[in-house]
Amino acid sequence: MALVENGQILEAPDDPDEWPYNTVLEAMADGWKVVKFPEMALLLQEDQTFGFGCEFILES
Amino acid sequence: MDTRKTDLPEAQFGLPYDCEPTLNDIQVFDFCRKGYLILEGVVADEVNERMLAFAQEHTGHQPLELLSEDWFVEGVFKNPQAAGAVRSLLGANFKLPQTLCNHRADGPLPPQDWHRDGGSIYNNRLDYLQVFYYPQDTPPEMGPTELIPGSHFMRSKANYMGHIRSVKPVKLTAAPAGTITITAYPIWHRRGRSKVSTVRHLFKYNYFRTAEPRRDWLIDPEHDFSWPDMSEVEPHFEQFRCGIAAAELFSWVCGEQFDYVGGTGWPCEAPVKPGLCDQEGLPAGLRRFTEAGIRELA
Repeated sequence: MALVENGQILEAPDDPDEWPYNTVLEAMADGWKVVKFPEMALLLQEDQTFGFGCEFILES
Repeated sequence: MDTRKTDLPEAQFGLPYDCEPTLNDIQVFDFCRKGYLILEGVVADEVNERMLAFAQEHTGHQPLELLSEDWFVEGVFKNPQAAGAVRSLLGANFKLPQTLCNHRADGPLPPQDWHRDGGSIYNNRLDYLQVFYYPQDTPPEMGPTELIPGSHFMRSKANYMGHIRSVKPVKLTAAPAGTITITAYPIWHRRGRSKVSTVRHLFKYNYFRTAEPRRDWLIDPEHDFSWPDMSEVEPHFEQFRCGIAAAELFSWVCGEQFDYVGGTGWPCEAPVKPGLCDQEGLPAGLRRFTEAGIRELA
């Protein structure tokens, strides 16, 4: 998880329990908009995966 | 003239070495699944203290002087627990490291980007290992290495991995002095956040295989490989993918043919193990029963 605010990358807490949201759905419920969905194409070849498949980019 | 040549006493650069294996079937399979094994506090205090004193005097990235020091080679490279684990994973007469580096972290520092080291090969073989050694107590606030369990099977480009930053499925290698962590080379890792004004030392080096793969560790002929436990590695990749890849890697390390049959075949796990049979697809050398269901081993 990473936060970008006013053009600056803010280091997110290391402990996921301290993140502002624990799921994308929680963030959406709080007004964040999804501007990019995970790159599922990176997972198409299951024995040669290239991506996590869970990387959302949100904007508020 | 090659200015990179060393002018050091005769060293044990990359010599073959053998010792007794120390891992059992479960531990070797777990290594294949998770991609790491942490051996806490296995190096003697005296060696750790000498390493710290050495590191304070020698601040270079590649302290090759250590390869000429018997106390270092015996205490670290040939450390009985660590070398025994390497012997289990790479087989007899594995090659000792040819070089090493010290990843000093002068804290406080933000975390590194996630990466797998250059030189990663993605295949079903285990021909080399990357090893980390902490000569000092390395608690969470000193920025110990973080690992993502099971990520050694997942290809990615460094510039893609770099911006992911904090993730949930992390294994922190915070550990007491003398801890050695053995990893599958392509595992995703990074230096964690250092919150203190202390220098963290992390020595890093590789061992290489020379032997053909075979099930040559502390084997239990009665061990039941069917429906293995696949817990702890997060299912954050393709469903079952890590388990299947781990089974293929383990089969290779055993010198067995892996013919994946899909479905509930090996290595699919099950809450309740069906008794008195081997799981469909289990390699021949790991089976306990004949095709007719007769126990092969008493």
